[in-house]
Amino acid sequence: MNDKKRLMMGNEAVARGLCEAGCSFVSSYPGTPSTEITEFAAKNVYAEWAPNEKVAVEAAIGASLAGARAFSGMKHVGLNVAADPLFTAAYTGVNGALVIAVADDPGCHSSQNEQDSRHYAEAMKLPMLEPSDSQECLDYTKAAFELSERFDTPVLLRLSTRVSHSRSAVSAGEAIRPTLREYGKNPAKFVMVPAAARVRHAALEERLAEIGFECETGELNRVEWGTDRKLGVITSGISYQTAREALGDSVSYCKLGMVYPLPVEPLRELAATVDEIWVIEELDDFIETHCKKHGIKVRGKAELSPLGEYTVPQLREAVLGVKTEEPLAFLANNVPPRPPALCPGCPHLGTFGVIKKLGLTVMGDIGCYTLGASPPLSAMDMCVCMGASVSSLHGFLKARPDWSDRTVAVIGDSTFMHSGLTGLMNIVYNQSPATVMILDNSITGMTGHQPNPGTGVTLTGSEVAALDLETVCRALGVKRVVTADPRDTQGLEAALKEELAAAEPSVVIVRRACALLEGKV
Amino acid sequence: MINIVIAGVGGQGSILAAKVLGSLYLSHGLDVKVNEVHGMSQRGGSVVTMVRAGEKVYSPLVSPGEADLLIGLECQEAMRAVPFLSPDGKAVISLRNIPIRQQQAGSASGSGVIGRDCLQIDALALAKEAGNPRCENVVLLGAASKFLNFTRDEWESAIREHIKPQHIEVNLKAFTLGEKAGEECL
Repeated sequence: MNDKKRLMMGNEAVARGLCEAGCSFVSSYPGTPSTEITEFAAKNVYAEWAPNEKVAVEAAIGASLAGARAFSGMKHVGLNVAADPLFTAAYTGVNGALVIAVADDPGCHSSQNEQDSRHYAEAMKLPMLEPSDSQECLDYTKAAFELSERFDTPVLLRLSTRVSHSRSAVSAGEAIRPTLREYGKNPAKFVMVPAAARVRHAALEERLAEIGFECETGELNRVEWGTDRKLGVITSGISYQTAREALGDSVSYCKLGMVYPLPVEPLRELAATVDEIWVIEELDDFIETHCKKHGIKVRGKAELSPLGEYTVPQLREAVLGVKTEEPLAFLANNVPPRPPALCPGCPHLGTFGVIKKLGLTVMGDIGCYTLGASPPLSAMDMCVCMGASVSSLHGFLKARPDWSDRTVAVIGDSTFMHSGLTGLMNIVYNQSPATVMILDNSITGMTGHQPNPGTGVTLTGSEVAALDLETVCRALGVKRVVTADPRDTQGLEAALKEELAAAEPSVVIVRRACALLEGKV
Repeated sequence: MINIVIAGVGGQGSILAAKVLGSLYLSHGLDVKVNEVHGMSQRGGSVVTMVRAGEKVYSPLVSPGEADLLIGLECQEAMRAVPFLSPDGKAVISLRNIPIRQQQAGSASGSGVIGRDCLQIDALALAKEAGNPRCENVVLLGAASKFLNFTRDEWESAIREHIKPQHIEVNLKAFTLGEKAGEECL
């Protein structure tokens, strides 16, 4: 054991946990706040960027089937993309351990929504662990791998922005050498045709009951008794840290490390001991609902917001009735806000300049270029999820065919490869005269310049054949594919006008390297 | 409990400054938490990084009115973060003003309000003098060192630990210039 403590970001500690759990396959798609797990993992474990989270999880399922311990990390909305394979992987179970980290973003620091991923654990019937600091990130990652093989199930590890991106002291252990479990053909377990799936569903329910029994006594959930017996708090993850800070040592805390399945006995014990119980959890009333289902009387969402992150002053006021004075708050009121903006020299500035000049209606997408929605460009009409620009443009034009001369989709290269290809296929197949702009800076910019299939380099730096966007678009059946340079705004404007006027699908590839990388690569 | 807030604009190096401070407190045997901002908000937006150290640290976030020290890498962002300061908190603030696009208000410097415990440092000029304008963060650490209980040796080894070998000398020079400017302020 290495006794020296080191400050580690939560994501780095998860990556360290992968080494210490003998994980030998990592496949992920970048997404704030989860990205650094895979970047750190790549230093010690075989790791790769997949084109999207569904591919990443399916690759990890394959590695697990082959007997390896496998991992995939993603942001909360990435789990939506990867949900399909996981719902059924819950039926098949695993061979080598399979652990999926999902990083929620309460407060929408870098996301389009603040969904609560705990609901997935319940819906998929998969165990979910939730660390609250970097040491737990490491320990729970290892625990997740153990649970996965012990109970024959994929395991979810739920993170949040403040856990992923805070540094705290970590004692690292020893890395272990990965081994492969035996592989043997077993169609009854792994080929989910209806007859087999019905049987596996029963196995899943049985396993869930076993895990539920385990979590009643397991060491992941603990009660920290306070100095008096008035107030009890049930909490997990970062909310535990905020609550402890806000409410102090007199309160008793039931700190849940496993948030699905949830235990009953420790909660009943707490309820029997203290006068009043609060459930403190950011976002939805997930734990609170569980308590109420089991007749445990708690206070929670009726008085605490379902929105954003909790702060120490907010919890002190809600639970203790103590208001925090902020005498200097007025000083900040005169400083105008400084929201994120496209960088100076960003190629997207030229692109959005042209779009704004032409007064186009824009179906937007997820990436740096979403910032084209901010004033003074204000050049975006919608942004929902990865790939939605392309598919929604098709629907928009079916509803308003005469708008095809003034409406475009704007999508980045990485997002196009993630989820835009099928939408473009649909445009060709179902015939809308759509104009799709692919803003190609040949890198995944927003999350910190991760390579993608169009970059021609892998996560670990190997050079590979770069995906050719022009060829791909033509292969999908788009006859009009043109390439423009966002620095040449006149050329881009002319190309765009021509394609908007065309009565068939077209793709305008707007190509220029990210300004932050120009000169570096 | 020691609470430090570092305010600046994405790309100014607040995370590095926080990592240096965090490792210094850890080497003093304290529990430490450092909170950082990554992703979307980094794109030229306001960035607030926090360092907390004590016997046991729970939340990684500093609450308003709690900070012992505010390090402002940019003067308007420093102003925005002033509410974090405790009544007897100190501030070390760069004169650097990075214009907010389309801003209506003029620049705001915290000095008039926080009085004698606010050091105003021309960090950009000193960083250039040291040899690299990107060392503003380390210039400010140098200036802030007068409020913090670390020896010169500890600072030096923490800087060496976190900075690439080819940049160490420039950063040590930046630290010394900041240290001197801090002393001259009072």
